[in-house]
Amino acid sequence: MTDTTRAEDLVARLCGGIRHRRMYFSSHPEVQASARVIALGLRAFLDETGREFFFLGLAQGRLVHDGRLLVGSTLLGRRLVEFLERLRCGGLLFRAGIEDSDVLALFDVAAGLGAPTAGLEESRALLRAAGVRRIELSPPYEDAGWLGQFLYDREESGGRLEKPEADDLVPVYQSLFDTVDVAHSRAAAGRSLDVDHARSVVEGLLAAARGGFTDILRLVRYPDYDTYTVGHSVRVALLAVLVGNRLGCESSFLTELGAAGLMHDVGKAKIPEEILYKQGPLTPDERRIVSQHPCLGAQILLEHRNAGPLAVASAFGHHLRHDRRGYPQTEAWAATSRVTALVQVCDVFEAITAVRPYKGAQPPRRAYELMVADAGAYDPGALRAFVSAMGLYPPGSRVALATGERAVVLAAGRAIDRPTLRLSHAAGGEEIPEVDRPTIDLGAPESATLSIASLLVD
Amino acid sequence: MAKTGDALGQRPVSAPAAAAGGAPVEADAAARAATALARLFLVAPLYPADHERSRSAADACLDALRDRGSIAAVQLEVVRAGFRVGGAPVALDASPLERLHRDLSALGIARLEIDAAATPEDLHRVATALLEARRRVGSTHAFRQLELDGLPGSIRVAQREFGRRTSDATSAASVRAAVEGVLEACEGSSEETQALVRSALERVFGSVVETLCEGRLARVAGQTFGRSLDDVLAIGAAALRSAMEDLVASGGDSTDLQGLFGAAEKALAVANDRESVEVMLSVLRKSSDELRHDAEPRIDGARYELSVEALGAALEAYGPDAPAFVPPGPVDRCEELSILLHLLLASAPGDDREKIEASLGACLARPLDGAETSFLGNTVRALAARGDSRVVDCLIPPLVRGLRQERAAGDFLVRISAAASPGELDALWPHLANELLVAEARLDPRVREDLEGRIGAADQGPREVRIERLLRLDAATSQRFAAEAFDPPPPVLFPVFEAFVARAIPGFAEALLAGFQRHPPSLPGAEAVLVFRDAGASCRSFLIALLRDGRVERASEPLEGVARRILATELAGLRGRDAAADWAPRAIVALGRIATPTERSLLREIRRGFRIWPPRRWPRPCREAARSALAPDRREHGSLE
Repeated sequence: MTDTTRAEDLVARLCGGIRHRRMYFSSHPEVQASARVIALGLRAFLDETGREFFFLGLAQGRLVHDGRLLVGSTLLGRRLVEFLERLRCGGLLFRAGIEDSDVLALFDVAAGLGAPTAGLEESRALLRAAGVRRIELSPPYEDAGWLGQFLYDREESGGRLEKPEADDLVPVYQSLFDTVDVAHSRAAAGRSLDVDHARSVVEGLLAAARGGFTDILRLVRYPDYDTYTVGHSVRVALLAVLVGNRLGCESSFLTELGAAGLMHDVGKAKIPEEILYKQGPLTPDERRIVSQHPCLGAQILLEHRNAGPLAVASAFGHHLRHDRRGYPQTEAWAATSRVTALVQVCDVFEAITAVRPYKGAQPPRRAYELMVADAGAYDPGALRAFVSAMGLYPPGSRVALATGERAVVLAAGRAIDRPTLRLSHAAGGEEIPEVDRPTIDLGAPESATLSIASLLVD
Repeated sequence: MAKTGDALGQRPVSAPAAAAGGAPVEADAAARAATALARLFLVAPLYPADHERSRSAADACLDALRDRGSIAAVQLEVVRAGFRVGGAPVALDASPLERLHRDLSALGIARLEIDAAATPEDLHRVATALLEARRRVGSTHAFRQLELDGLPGSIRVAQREFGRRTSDATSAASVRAAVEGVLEACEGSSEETQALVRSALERVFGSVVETLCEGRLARVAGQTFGRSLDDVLAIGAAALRSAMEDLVASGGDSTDLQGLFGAAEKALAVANDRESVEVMLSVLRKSSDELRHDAEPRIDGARYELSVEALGAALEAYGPDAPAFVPPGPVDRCEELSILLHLLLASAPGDDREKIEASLGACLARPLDGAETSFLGNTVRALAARGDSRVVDCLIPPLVRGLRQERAAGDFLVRISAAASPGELDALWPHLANELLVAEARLDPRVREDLEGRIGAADQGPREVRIERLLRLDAATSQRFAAEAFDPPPPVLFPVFEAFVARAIPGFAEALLAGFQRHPPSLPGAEAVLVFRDAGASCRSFLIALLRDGRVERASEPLEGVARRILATELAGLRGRDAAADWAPRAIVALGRIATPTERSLLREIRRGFRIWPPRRWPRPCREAARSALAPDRREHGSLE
């Protein structure tokens, strides 16, 4: 495991631990387990590498480690970022010999900290009083004493981190992720969901996207290995909203569609994690258990009058095949809507094209090949509408042109391999300044000689 | 614009493109020739050369080509955007032309050279040979050399020579000449056009250089090169080829090769001269099948089974008759109901069934449209056929409550029970009965009659379970009954009435009593109901007995006996003004029908009109009723006074 992966793993577990601690008391098995895993992992890493400490920094709202921006972790670790900001610190330094009790005490502070502290000294006092011994707070990033390091000289870069792409959409993505994360946690605990909050988050997405979803879809590339169920729901919601937007749906409907996408897998919260995240093939019994999640999700959402029929239908029907196979097995008289069919297509596409711990990502074109080969699985109109809206190179994809230039796909074109692009890099590899980046419609006659040579992946 | 030849100290060479056009042809003639050739390609497989159709197409083509009077051969070139005939462009603005272009492109045909001496038969032979070859190669754009036999000498076919090196073409002069030819052809065009062409050439050739810029060119040519056109032209073609061979041999990334191939294609489109890009294509053809346009494109290691075109065709063929996907609207209620019913069917005791049922009720609270009503009708029938009365009993009540707002519930129930099987009717029976009883139904007389008919047909076999289900529905639970259900009480509902009376459903026995008093069943002794003033215990007992006998339309001895006693007791006990009650004469007549000698004695007393002790007087209507009741006695026994 690389340093960066380890850091991302730590962030995910810290966020999970803080979430559990906010829901349960300190001696709850989930909270205890989170602390144990974190402490064990850190001790093992520090032992292996002979280091004295592990620093996870916070710089301008971004999580950093060893001079590298952890973009994925920043997207998925909003809870941790907010905690560190409330502590008015520049990161956490975990020292060798860290114990479970240190992490538990950190959780206690995180769960109980409502408002920001007055300053770093108060935060340090808070941690000391809670019994945290081997976790230290770094001065803020802007201070000279910040414990983090850059690959680049800070003076050369003007003391500022390069902003990652789609910077202003990071909070939007974080909100989407957080909404699903919290919903699944609450569903697992049998608590009520806040579906209205999901709607408002989707409204925020629609406002931020301003008619185009290119940037937000680029953010979804970052894998969330520990919580890929949550990321999956976010991506399905984004895909559904993008297709709906392309089809000209009204914003009120897009809001419902997005919320439904966010909630469609909430039934999985009731499936034991050891089955849900099992690496190997499932036994018949395990498959039967997993196949219950659509009904469970529909029941969970039915308990909330504000869930809306679309969310219930998406939760119930997203594994229903067009030819009535799939699950749950429905009666011959049962009706299904095309909205549910669209969510099903989005769900399958995301599953094929996303990174998982047990498999790599497949490119969109390969996903389409697999989908068209499965006769009867999909509503043909929904599948064609999806492919038409996404194309071979979905919005947000980075591509290399035959000329050697690189570009970002803005929107699918009439032909599936002729999207609208914005050039980002010249053929020599140099980045084109943001303000100078031309937009090219590959479907226009004047672009007939241009073509995409390859899809670029990270 | 300074000629590149001057900058390099070279004399410009005439553009190969101009020479390759053959004898020039005017645009109009070019179009006619191409169109006629396309038509010939359509008819050649069907008609022999001497057929009028073949002949006319071939003649038209040759006439157009010979129009300018020259004896030189004319070239028909296959270019990306269409054809060039004698140098004049011909666009693909008709489907025969598109088809011809597709066929020739698939065969890798670069041009046809047609001599002035060519005959229509020659043209027919060429068309036939090419179409035969077309059938053999299929639909892919295969890079292969065709074996074409039997071609006439007057028409020559030139193929794109992909994959075959022609060493004499690979010279710096040919590359430069090709580029200069293009630039020369642009002279006279606007500065903008020239700039565009120059920029395209730079981009295309420059990208070739760019791709190889990791020192390979420098190693081979001994110097580095920039990206300007001048620099590119200075590259020896041999050096370029060597560099590319080096790239292939060293296992260069397929992305580079893919990009290179794309650049080469673009160069071909710009320069329209295969020789100017042959240096690149010859090496690329040799390198790998992976670079073939239609085969197994790779992107970052991914292997695809379908070309883009094949994928598009597969998508179109996926459910080809399916309707277009219109922008989806809100989930329709049919789906919502389907889900709720599924959950209900799948739920086990102890699950939150009440919540699902509540959701079902909320969903049905809004008025239904025609499609929803139809869906629900089919669904109810299907559920009834399953024999799952639990779900039927969950679905129908909220459904009919909604339909009652439009006075449509009765019609709905009549419709879904029409032609129903016995099992289905059994499942529906409680709901049909309920609708007949409940006040809110407000049924039409016709609908009421239909429902009564259905209930009669469904009332087969053990009744207890159906009755129990009925008692949970809103007629029994609301205790609000339709007046029409008792006016008169229909015999088909007597079993229901019996159950309701037996369970003392508040208000029911009273309503039934009033109904029977208005419309006594035609059973001897039934009019005993007339004497009851309230639905107390004795009344209910009598009603139950009456209902049981009423079912079979035959009074039993017990019923007669009870009726006789009730009537005699009540009549004998009448005092004063009570004797003037409306019901009294009817009761007297009724008693007469079932009277034994004991009761006839009372009747005679009433007929007399008075009793000495205890003193009593009977009003005239009663006396006349008694006389009527005893009339058979009088005839039998003469005067009874």
